[in-house]
Amino acid sequence: MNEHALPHDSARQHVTGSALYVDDVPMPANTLHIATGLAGCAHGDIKRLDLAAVRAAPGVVDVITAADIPGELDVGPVFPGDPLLADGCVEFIGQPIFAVAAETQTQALRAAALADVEYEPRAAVLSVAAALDAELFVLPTRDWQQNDADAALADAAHTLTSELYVRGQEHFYLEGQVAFALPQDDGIYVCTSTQHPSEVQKLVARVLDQPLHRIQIECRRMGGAFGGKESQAAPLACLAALFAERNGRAAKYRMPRRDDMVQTGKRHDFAIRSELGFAADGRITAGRFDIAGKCGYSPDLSEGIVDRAMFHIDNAYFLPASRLRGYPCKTHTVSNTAFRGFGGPQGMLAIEAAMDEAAYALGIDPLTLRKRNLYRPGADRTPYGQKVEQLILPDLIEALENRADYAARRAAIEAANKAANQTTGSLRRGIALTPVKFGISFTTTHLNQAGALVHVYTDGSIEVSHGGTEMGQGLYTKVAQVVARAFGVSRESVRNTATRTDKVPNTSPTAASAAADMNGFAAADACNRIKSALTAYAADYRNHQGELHFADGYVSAPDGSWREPFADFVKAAYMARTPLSATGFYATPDIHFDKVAGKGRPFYYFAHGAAVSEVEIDITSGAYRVNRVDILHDVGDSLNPAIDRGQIEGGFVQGMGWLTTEELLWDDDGRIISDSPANYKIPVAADCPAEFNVSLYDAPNPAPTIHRSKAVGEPPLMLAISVWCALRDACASLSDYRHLPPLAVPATAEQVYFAARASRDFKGAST
Amino acid sequence: MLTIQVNNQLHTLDAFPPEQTLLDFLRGNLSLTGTKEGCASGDCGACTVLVGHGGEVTSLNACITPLGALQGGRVYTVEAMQKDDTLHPVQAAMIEAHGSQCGFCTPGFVMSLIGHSLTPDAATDRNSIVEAIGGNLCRCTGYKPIIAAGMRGCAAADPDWLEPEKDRQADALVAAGEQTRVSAEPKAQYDRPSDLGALADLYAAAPGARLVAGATDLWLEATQRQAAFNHIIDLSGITDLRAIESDGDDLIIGAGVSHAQLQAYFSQLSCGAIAELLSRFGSPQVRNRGTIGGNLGNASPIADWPPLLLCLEAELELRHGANTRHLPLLSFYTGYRQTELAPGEFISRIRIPGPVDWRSLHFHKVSKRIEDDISSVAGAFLFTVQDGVIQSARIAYGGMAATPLRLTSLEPQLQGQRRDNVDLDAMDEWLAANLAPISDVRASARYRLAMAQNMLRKSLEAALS
Repeated sequence: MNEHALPHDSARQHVTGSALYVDDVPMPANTLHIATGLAGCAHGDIKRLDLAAVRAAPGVVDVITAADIPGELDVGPVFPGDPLLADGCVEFIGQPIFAVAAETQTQALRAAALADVEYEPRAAVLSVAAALDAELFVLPTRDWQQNDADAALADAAHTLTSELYVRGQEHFYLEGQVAFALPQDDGIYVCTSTQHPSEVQKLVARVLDQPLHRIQIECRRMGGAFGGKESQAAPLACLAALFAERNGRAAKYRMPRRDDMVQTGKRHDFAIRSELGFAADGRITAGRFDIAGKCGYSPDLSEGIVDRAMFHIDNAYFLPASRLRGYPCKTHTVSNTAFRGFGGPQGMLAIEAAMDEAAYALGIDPLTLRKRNLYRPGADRTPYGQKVEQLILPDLIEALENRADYAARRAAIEAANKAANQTTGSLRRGIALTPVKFGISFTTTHLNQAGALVHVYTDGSIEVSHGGTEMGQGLYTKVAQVVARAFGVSRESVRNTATRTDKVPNTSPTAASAAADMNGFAAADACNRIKSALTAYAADYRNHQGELHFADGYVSAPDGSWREPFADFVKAAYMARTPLSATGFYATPDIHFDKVAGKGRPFYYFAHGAAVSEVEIDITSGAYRVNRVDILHDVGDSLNPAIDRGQIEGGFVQGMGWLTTEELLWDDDGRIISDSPANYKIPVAADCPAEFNVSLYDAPNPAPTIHRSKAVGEPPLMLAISVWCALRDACASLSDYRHLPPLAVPATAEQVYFAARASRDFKGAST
Repeated sequence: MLTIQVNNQLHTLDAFPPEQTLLDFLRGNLSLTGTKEGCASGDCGACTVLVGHGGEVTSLNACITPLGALQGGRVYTVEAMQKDDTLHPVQAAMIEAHGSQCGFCTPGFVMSLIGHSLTPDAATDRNSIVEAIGGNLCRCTGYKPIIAAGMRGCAAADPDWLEPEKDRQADALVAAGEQTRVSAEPKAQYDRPSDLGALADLYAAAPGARLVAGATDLWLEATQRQAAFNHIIDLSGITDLRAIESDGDDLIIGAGVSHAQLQAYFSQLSCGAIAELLSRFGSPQVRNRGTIGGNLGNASPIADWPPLLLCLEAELELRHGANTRHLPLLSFYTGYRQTELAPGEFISRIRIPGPVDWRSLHFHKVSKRIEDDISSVAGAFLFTVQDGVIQSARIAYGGMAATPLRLTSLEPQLQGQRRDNVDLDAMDEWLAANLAPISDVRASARYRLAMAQNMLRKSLEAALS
């Protein structure tokens, strides 16, 4: 077992039920509970809003509408467009139009259902296709070009057009959205489940028309977030703070699961059209892509999300000439938001689907075609002009092929399927290997900064705070390990505090997989400042010049001439009036990007991985199982291999859910009908592949990250693309591999059934 | 008055709103916040606790369990699973295997696994553990470390960990269990009678009351739509309704028999069809609470028992006050969620006429997710075949119409058909012409029809092979 593979810092609290989440914190007896009234019309003007019955309902203390907001109404995180409560016009079914505070949550929810609202409906745009037709966008479109793709496509030996509609995904964090606010004598304290405390602080301050320093935000842990609490948590905190301020009472807003599924944003649907040009040998010569995201009614974080879909449309493949057009489509549906991968998965899936189609069209084995097009020396420039410096995928894929015995299994599966086609057998298998290359850094450059605060106490115990939030990903554990390594003390000597805006200010969201990179470095920086002070103390009082050695709980001279327990040493340093507390800071170097031109170096480095998935489908129902998965993933020199493995396995299964059973559906009026776990199905334990081999690729990060580690939060999700490709491969077997049928996303049993049937009924020549 | 024991502490409550849930009581009244609310609809298992009336302890979802159902019961929550500083082996294994990430679902997994470890001869192979946690959702880990922890932790677990012999309040609990009136306020009454006659009289006198058994469906009205109930009559305390008996060749199942009880009973009969139905029916927590009477009386067109029992020509015993009448299940459903039940009348027993050749019964279910999902289509089929000739056929579906559907006009067409000349295409055509399923969030009409056709084909092929 690797020495760094320590358990999650809250593991004992998790298993004993003593870990406190926002809703578990004891509240004052007179706490108000909040509910919102939701719009029942996808697009329209509010003609009449009669809240008399709401106000008169039992237990109701306060009811507010947009007019009651003292400061700014808009809580858009980057761009305006998200009114905290609808102001005259509603733009999706489920948009909050008023808010109620009552003595109990049940009373608030019952009261909120009593509003009498009448709308003057306006035309609603409910799909990407309709938004493209109407040229309705939440932000300007993009057109990024490198070399002349149009000309290269015209000259290509082969061209292929592929169209894919990729559906979104509900986050389904187990802990729903929640926040509470406590009035303080000179401000407001808000405890919230958020990935972005500083932004909650900013928005609460704006809504209340108060300076930032009157607002303290705290988040100790979230019960899952996955991007869904990056921007979507703020409105709850704002309403809680507003009711607390208005009533001088504590106020809590915990959203019921159904409201959460109706009212908060999800992963974006994307409609992607790919045109690829190929040389005779299967090398790609050009790619032209139209990438349209279903943003919903407001911009939210969609600029970065559509951009990231564009950034990952190449996945791992070199496109000598490219044209990428991005369309942030406006629809009268809930505003879609960050979700693990942030648009990247959708872009990546589109080119992986196209690669399989190209393999059929060119008569080349799909993996051979993929390998032939990987970034390689001399062919290492991304469509946005960044050079891919670490070209490890060829080696990583080969290693995975060997571990997974890919070639032999593929041959055996093909033979078995073809034999089954001669019988009435109903089972078919499919297999696919797909790679992942994922860019690490916020593509909004200024967000790539982090702060930390480290206190060493006189008994040698250490406390660390930083701007990152803990949502289960093990960030606190990793940062504490960085601090423990810096001082050469045990992991138990270091305690994480909750993330608080009054400990570390002006922080970035815990997102883009970059939190351990950035906060780990910031914490290390703080440790180094304290170590410098201790070094100065040693020089002044211990007659020791130069560096100190911190290891195994001791401070020592590098030559071993003396050593002293860390606790004794810092106690003595304190007596000599040495500062034992420091802040640390980190800004990711060497990144820049021009969003309009689509040129620059948006990523500090790339994380890589590849997966082989094998599935078995029943062609009489389309039902299937993922039988075996092999993953080889690049996390650099892991800060904590146990946590990284957990991220890889968990990300994979979450991605598998997105591409298989998790189906977001709306009715013709724009009302979401997949609105509860009874009709939106995330994976259960039985969906975990029975054989699930995960290995870490052994290579330090060439970029000087903290201990040469790599980000791991998002990239593994996209390894699950191999499941979708394997399902499609199994369907294709029904035509003896002459025809690769279209397969919808998600590939529910129903979709697999019809794809397999289309393949079985295929009469034409090979496609 | 409600009397309930939680983690070996006795609590009493004079009155409470009938719709109050056990979860609310644990978190709100007792500040036992280790039990989480993830969905409030019994779908995620974050609120899993262990509950017993008398000896046996089973897991359930506290979020959709009426507080009143716990009259005279014992509840164990995650807070009570460690003894002083010693963790339960399942808890220790969860830490060791890195089985928690965000940790929010973790108490629920711990409780499901410990509950499993308390069952007699609890199996600890991978499949058994996967099944034991089938009602618990985790969004972080992908389950692999939880399965590993479950196998390791359950193998090391002490089946007597809860030490019921230390149960000092057993007498108080038994006495409470015999009290019918659990809570009474004006327009807010919770009754839990302990014998059938009392139930019949109570319900006949108060036909406006809502009858509840496992509450796995009715309580969603409270937790999803904040319904307030004026009067609840809870039949979970009636031992008479929880019996499975033979009457000659017939099988008589009490309406209050849980799906978990049925699972145990039918596992001895080697009936593949019923094993399939039950293994894919809800989750362990839901099977522990939900009852066969509830599944029938609820009259959902996508319930799984009705098609199977229609095939078995089950007969319902309906009780109203002192009167009992019998009705074939075939005549029970009158429309979408409508039945023949008169006000104040309830299902008391289900009679399955015998002898039944359980191996000739076929059941197929299609759902978006294989485990713990509601059927898009369910089909049940019973063929009697002699010398390769179909003597009789019974065919029933769920999810193909507004009510569970038995195809009595198709069945005669199969009679007399031989192994080598069954006209399967004609069957497909008949189904296409006579069934009009809907498209909804679970499946399209086109897929439902195709599945109904394929289920019939598969069952016929199996029967004739």
